[in-house]
Amino acid sequence: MLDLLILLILLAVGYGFGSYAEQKHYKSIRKRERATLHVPIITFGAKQSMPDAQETELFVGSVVVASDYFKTFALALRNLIGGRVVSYESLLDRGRREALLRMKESAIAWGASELANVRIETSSLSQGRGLISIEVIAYGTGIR
Amino acid sequence: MKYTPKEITEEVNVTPTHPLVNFGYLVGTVIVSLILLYALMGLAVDLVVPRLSRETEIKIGNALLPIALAQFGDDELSDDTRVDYIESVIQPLVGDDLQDLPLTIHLMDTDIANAAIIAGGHVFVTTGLLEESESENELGFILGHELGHLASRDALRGLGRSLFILLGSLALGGASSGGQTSPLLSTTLDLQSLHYSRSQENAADRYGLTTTVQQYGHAGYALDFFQRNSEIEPDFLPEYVLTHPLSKNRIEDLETFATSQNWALVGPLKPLPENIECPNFTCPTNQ
Repeated sequence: MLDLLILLILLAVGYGFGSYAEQKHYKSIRKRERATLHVPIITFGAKQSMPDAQETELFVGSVVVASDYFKTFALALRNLIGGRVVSYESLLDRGRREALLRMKESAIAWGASELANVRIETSSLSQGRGLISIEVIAYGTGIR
Repeated sequence: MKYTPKEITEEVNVTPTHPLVNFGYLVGTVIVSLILLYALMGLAVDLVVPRLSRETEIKIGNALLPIALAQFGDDELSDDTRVDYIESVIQPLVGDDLQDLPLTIHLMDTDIANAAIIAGGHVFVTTGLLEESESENELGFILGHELGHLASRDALRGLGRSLFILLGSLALGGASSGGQTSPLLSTTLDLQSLHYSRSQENAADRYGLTTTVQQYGHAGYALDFFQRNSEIEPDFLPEYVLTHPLSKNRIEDLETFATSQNWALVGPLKPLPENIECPNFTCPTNQ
């Protein structure tokens, strides 16, 4: 009975803090995305000529986002029956967008007019059982 | 081409389901499946038990042995010569149906008069029972009764759903690795609260009496243990509130059964060996 109570408290704490942090994060992401919208992210293939550039530099944005108890518990349940892990979709979405923003913001600060050939990679920082947090890294070439 | 920045407003990468709704669905699915599984396992026990092989039964017994020993006080007298005596009493009672199951006698040093079996042919007899018994006929009947439970696999049935946990851990090869029994099992098996249904008890009674009559030629003195019990049992309680059938009713049932089989209800008493209450049949002489 006590175990169940502790579990419920952990779930409530995880859900409360987790969704509060998520809402705050999304608000900030949307605001900063609007602010950095004027710099395009473009991709060049091997047979295309590169755009005119005086200077180029590599920019890296990386972020580590932690899951919360609620999300991890939902994932564990989801693992039993399979299917879309709804609770982790937003976590990874936040990670990707935050990593892109950090890269973009540092490129804008340097004076980039566009960002070329951006790549995104994800890795999980797991500790024994359950996924504890994820790392997303975005990198691309800034051009000015 | 001119680049016109456009804000992304659709969130295609995040399912719009509310996390709590999704969570409720998950918990619901898991709980419903567990309830179904639990119900199915309860139904499946009676189907699975008769189909288990002797080897599996012995393996289950070996996995349960440490727990059973602990519940009898963990005080086994394995070198006592009384074990050989009990064996000489029980062996002639073993019918054809149990020939392929080797019996292991565990003599437990405790004052409580009790005999029990667990799956796999482990027979537990307490020193308290030896002290209380007044004849070999009586002891033979009690042992025959336990053999009856063994023959109808009541102990396996009595495990109920834990049987599947046991079978699962046996399949994974970890039921008693290194003498360590899974803590899950020790909480699911409780020999003190383990009781058989009334019909199982009655069937075991009849089995015990049949073997006793086959061995001693009559049913005399066999029911003395019940007789003594019936004197101390409250007879103002209705039988359905008790876990065991009342001794009085068991005696009646068995006597009717014996009469219908034309068995003699009286016969010569076969005494127990002297000093059966003392280790190795040797009582201290200074008393």
